[in-house]
Amino acid sequence: MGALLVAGLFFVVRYFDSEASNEQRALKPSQVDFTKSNQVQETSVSPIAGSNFEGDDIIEAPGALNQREQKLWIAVESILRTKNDSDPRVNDLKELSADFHKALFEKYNKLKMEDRNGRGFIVFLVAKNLKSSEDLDFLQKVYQEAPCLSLENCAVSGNDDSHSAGVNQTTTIYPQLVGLYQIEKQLAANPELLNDPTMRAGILATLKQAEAFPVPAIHNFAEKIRQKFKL
Amino acid sequence: MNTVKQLIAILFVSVAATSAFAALKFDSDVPKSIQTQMVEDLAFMNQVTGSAQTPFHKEIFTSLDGKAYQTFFESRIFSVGVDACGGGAAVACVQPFFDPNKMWLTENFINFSHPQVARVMVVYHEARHSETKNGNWMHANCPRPFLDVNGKDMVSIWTGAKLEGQPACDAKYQGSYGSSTIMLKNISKYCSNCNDKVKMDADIYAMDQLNRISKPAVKQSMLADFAN
Repeated sequence: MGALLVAGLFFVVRYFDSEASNEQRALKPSQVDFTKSNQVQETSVSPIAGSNFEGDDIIEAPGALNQREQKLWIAVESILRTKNDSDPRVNDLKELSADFHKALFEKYNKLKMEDRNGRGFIVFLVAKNLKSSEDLDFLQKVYQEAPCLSLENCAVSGNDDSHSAGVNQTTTIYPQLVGLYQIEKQLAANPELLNDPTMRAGILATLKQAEAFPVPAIHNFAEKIRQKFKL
Repeated sequence: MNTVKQLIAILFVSVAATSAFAALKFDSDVPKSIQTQMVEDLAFMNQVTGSAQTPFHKEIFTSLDGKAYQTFFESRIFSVGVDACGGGAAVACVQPFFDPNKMWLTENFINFSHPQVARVMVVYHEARHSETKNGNWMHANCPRPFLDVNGKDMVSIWTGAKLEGQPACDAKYQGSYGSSTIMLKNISKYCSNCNDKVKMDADIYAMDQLNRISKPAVKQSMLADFAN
């Protein structure tokens, strides 16, 4: 019986090995070079650094937060790490305290410039719940940043082909787009926000700052919002 | 005996990993981190439910729910490999002359910090290119001049460079840009179990993709469709 099991396993392992080696023999599109007689070109796929997905239990929430917000903070950190934007806990992240917003500002500054989705997520959480001049000061700083030139390295211009340039360029300005999207959404749903002189001045200053951002799409979006709400 | 136990353990792990990706076959050299992200992104799409849909969405995807999106994807893409897709900032590609039902992902799929909706949009865009019977929905050259509704040049949202003459447009709403725009706009409007960020992202990326529709009449018909 044992011998039969070992023999069976031997053939199964041989089968998987054979499948893997067949796959390795097949060329990829980039390996086919008709000008060089289909020579196989060297390819390398390196493991991605920082792609670990630990559990939520090792996340530490800022001590200033109450028990409810400590749980919410763990959700924020978890979503940032897993890149799982569709996490249903996103909708629980509302009516957040000033301390929570402060922790978000600090978190934003710790994220790499290239973490466009992470930074945009923080802007989303702050801008969808604007309630203080500190929130608007934070947003203005988002529009004072140097534009991210490429997703690989924000400090260096990339090599976008026209086919994928739309999605890539949208992501490079994602934090700035999110801020304006949420301001427009809030003003549409709650125009009386502008009756508060502090909020009105802060929103206007933020839109003016966004208009100075040296990317046409952001400039135009901010201008459109300012005109729409007669600011 | 220990060797037998080890072999059984290896076999068990192999079977478990294979069943997790049963619907989609990954080449063995696709890094686990890319496989995991792809499977998670498709799992998100597979659980979407919608309260309604627009006529164009019904025509292309049949209904706004995870099962329909899963069928759409899995009937077009059978395997996934890793490749440079021409290099640069490409995230994914389908190379119809090579294998129309195989999608290639680049390391940018996980190295670039795209929102999940953007990653999903890219792979559904590429899946549309697998349709050999429809000429793979090859892109059209953007017309010269390529103007918006206000008569201004359509430009790259970032650099302001003109898109005219670039092979980066669709003349029909059924193409890769058009179909992914329709998918995202419907998710933004009608997804009943998507959170607020997902809906916002779907709207943001849909409006960008809409700019790649080169014929004003087609674009207008899409805007009318979205108003349903």
